[in-house]
Amino acid sequence: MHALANPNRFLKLGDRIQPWALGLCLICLAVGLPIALAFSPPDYQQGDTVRIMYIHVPAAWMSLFCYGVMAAGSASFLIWRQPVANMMARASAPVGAMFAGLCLLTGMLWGEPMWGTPWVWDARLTSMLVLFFLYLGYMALGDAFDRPEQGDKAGAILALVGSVNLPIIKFSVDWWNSLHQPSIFSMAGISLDSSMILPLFLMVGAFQTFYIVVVLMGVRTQVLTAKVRAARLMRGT
Amino acid sequence: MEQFQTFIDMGGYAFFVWSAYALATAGLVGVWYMYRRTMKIRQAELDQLRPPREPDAPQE
Repeated sequence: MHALANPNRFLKLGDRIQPWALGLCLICLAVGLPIALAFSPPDYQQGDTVRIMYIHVPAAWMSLFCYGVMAAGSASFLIWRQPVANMMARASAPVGAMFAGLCLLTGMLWGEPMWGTPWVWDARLTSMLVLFFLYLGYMALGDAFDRPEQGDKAGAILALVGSVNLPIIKFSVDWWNSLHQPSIFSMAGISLDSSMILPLFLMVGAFQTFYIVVVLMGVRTQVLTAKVRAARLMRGT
Repeated sequence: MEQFQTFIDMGGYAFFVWSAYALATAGLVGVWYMYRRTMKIRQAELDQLRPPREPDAPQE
């Protein structure tokens, strides 16, 4: 773990992982998309709209995952002053915001034909919208200060405070009456037909490996930004 | 041909299903492009500030 605290060593490891992640992502898409769109059966209730779930559910999980990385990175940045942890957090925000937005939009595209409405202000949907705004707030706050260290700190605190939203999203369908269907995972096991598990997990794999590819680029950008700043300071500009 | 038509129709939900997949494609490609572009811009800034000859700059 200590070796990874060094940005340059982290990037070196990242360079080795990145091509594998990209390859795995493309394989998951090449196999997963045909199954999701054509070879998996339509749902007996939802018909072909069930295919939206193969985007919607992985996007929802990834938006929670990215925020989890952001909160954990922010915590270890605030407690142990780990610069790489903060870079991981900063790099996870834009891609996490995209996943949250994708989850909301695909949810609307499913809700319109199935619920008869694209949006209801219930606990699950509202807490997901809050997550989306937390991402935007975190990104805006991080860049809002003249001194970048202040932005890092303020953003990290916001990310930590906002992490209270994660369990709310997760359990909102159990705690409150919701139009949204409950999680497919429960104490009783997975409540999903096996023909739908394969495309779902392939798309999860594709999104997860995609995240690895872009987050490594994001961390590199953060390292480069720090170097640019240091070089400017040395030149006195 | 008829099979292809049923595939495109998505049981009458073509608009919703295909929009969802189009949005996903746009999101993934857009995010990938954005990350890549910022990285390139930052690299170019650094190269301009200091010629890439220092040993502590292992960028390819």
